[in-house]
Amino acid sequence: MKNKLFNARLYQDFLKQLRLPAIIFAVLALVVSLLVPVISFVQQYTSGEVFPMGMPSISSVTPMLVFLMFLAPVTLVISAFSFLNKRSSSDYYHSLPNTRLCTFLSAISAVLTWLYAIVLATVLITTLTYNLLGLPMNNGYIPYLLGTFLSGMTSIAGVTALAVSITGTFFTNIVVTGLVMILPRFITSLYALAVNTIVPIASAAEFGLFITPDYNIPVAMVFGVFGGGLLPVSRGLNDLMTFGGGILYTFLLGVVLLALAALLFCRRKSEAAGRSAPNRVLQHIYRCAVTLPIVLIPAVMFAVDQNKAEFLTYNLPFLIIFFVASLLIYFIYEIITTKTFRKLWKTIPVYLAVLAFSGIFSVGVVMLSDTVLHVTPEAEQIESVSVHVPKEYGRDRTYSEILQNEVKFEDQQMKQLLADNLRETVNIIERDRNLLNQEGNYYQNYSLHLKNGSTVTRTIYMSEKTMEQIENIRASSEVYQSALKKLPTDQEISNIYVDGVKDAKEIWDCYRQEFEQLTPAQRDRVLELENGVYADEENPIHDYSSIRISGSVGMEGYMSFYQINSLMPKTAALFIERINENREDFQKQLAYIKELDEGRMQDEYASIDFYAVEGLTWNDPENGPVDLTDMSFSEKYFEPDDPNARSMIDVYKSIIEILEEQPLKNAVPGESCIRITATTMERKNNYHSNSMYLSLTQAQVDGIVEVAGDMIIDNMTGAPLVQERAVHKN
Amino acid sequence: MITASSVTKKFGSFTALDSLSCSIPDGCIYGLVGSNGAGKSTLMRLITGIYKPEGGYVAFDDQNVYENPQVKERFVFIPDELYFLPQANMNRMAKLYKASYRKFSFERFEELTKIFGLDPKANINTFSKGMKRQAATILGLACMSDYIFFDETFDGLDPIMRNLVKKVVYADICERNATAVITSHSLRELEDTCDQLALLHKGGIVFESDINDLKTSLSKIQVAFDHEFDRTLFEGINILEFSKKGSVANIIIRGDREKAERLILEKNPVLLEVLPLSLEEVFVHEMGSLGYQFDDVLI
Repeated sequence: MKNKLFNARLYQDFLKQLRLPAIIFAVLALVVSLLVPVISFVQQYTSGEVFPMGMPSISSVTPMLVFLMFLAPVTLVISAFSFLNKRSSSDYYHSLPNTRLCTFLSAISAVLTWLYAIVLATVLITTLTYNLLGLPMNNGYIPYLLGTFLSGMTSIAGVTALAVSITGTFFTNIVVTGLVMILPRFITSLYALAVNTIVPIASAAEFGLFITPDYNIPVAMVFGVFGGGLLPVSRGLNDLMTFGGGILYTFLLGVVLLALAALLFCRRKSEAAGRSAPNRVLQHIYRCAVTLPIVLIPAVMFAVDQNKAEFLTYNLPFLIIFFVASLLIYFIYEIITTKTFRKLWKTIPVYLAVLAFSGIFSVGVVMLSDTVLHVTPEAEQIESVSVHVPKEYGRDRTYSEILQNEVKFEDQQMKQLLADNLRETVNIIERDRNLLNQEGNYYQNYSLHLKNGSTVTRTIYMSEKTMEQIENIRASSEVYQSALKKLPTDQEISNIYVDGVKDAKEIWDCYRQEFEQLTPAQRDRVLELENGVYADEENPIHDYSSIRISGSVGMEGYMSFYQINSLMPKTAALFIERINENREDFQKQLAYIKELDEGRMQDEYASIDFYAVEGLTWNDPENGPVDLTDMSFSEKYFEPDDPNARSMIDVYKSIIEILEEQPLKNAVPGESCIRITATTMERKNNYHSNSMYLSLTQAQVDGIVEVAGDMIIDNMTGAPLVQERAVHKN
Repeated sequence: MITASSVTKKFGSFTALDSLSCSIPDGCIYGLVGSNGAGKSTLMRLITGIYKPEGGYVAFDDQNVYENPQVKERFVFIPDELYFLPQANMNRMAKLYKASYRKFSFERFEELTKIFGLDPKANINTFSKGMKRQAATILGLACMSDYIFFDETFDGLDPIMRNLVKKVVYADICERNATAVITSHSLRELEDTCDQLALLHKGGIVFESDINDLKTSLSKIQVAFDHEFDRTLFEGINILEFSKKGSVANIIIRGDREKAERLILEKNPVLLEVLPLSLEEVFVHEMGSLGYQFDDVLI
């Protein structure tokens, strides 16, 4: 078996060969990733300027790896297999007493070793640094960071290994790598986009994971950067990096690509070295593949336009430009790769084949769209229907949205209404799809599960009356209502987060227990926001905070927010109790602020801010009680000649004195509540920020307004509570 | 023994080797000569398992060479176009060879670098063309293989270095009973090096023979008489070529030289001398008998 599958010494030699670029990438990744936490820490440590760090998003923890996920594998694979691009080196390696498979596996193992080492080192050292410096960091990111970048690099390495196995020059290594990586998804996404444009009521969900680029994480990142919103990528960068299904698919794809690359490498002839393609047929294919995207774009634009004659008339110059550009690229590619002009004319028939393909693609899109559009099952053909909540770009669906999708309605009236309205929707599209968005048209998304086992998912337009009828049917369904009111189980949860609370699970468990004791109507109310219903303006509910739950139902990821407010008093009370456990630190900060003077403020920092959660009123001497709910304190800049000017430190001190008139009392849910946050950075000490949810007396509230009413801002209007403080008015 | 059996190799529509068969016995120094494009390097690459033949096979002691590491470990190939790792020195290359050749000997490597006077720590890119060939030869010989293939290796060396390389190669071959296969487009180059010689032309072996047999198969006799004479005087002798200038004739004969000499002596010549034949001259006549014009083959 020696030298038939793997040669450890050859592997070590490849490790050595790749050492220099690998170390450069590792250093680059680490330095850039550590810049943010180190600079933030140094700034806080050395200057009076404090930029309190919130929890970084997952994509900002190791930003360089996003870029290196593409650059590193391409560079290392091409370096390792550069011997395939020259006859002398290719013959040399093929003369060694190793099988081709052994050479391939030894080389690619060395590449993957370096790539995985770069990822592991960067992720672990960076997250460790955040933790050691006391900066906010969600350690739950670690498996997702590792999963995203390990799988991404594996798949890009697979793509590149495949490309080098079927090309023989550096230029075609790069070109074919790009083609293999992007072109299949580009074509399928273009198809999906075209069909979606012609049939706007069709759902991308029907296209499945092979068309939706999200599952291929590196490709989805590329499309997200260069085509986000235009091409059907539904996840933003952060969501992609926490998409478990995508991580798994990407890794498996990488393994498959590596296996395919191994197979092609073993079949590769040594004499292919130095040639752009191993044979003339592949040369034609590469040239056509390079040209194809440029030709497909106008073909698809033509296909989706409702008035094709007009399209040709008004877009003729544009079409000519595309045609000329494609021809230029076609010939330039041939010239670069073959280094000769002489046989260019022989390639023209093959270019015509590219044009023919794009024509066929265009016709195919139209025909397929027509087929998709005219799928209008009769009510009798429908087994059941379910609500379909489509994925939106940059947002995971909520838990209840996923469950809603799974509830099946068998109500005959509902089936009839949907079938009839779908037919009418199709009629509108046939007349002019722009008519869909006319006033008076409402729409909802449904999946129609047919008796033959297939499912049709559509956006169905209807009148307001029809929508109400359907809503009533939904409301009367106990199964549906219970899906709306279901909370995730432990098995479906991967992360629980409550801002400022260490043991978020305790809050969640309390929430769950309290929720179980609510009546159905109460549950409705509690989950209104989670179910996408805005709070009732007549009976507003004000949130103290929220519990962020993320996880998955099967392979589908979700993220839901469950509000902590007075509707769940036990949970709210527990939340307040936990947040307020930092009472001692909070009071120390207040004491510290009281001792500050202007001189020390040059190189230290302090601030107090507050937010009126609920139940606070101010007794305006002129106008009577004013509701302070949803108002917050904002530092103010005074003009030098402003008679109301005063130093912020004096304002803080006044507020602290008012707070200290009474012992600090925890807020009680449903009664008055103000959230006060004290932030300090003492000289050479860490940044501290503590919040408390407190209940204040009326006298305290009035006192604070008297001191700083001109700095209290209504968050809805942006206007200050008072224009001038009462003290100076008189 | 190396056996190539009906080997065919094509590059696209061009046939480089067409049903070529040959045998290379163990323990010899086998020379392959032919003009540019005759197929020498292609044959070497087929024998060393770099190329896969479209037809036929190449075997070492009846074991197919292609994709067979056990067989490939028994030989080392020193090509015409050399390859070294970028920015490598000889020590670095030695480690790469060691990675694949179990028998690679660092002692032999060091010994040879001293003999040739090369600095194993210097960047090979700084070497001259001849020094690079020496480096490649050292690395190849240090593999201690049973078979060594030199593809126009000696062609870039100066005469002194060429002799040194030959001496070292001989020593290795004699010591280990190794087999060397050398290609060149120069007959003179191979004449005093090889035991066996084969001539390649247009993808096929035209001629193959032991060198001693070659050299002794023909003789060149210079003769003069005190009377007028022509070719008919030498009946009974197998004459391949008869040329006369004045009263002196040069005769190339095939067959027993001593018998021919006796026959001529009986005719009382005033001059009878046996002259050495160059390998080129032998080839000309041997191939002439096969119907080839030598100039067509080697120019």
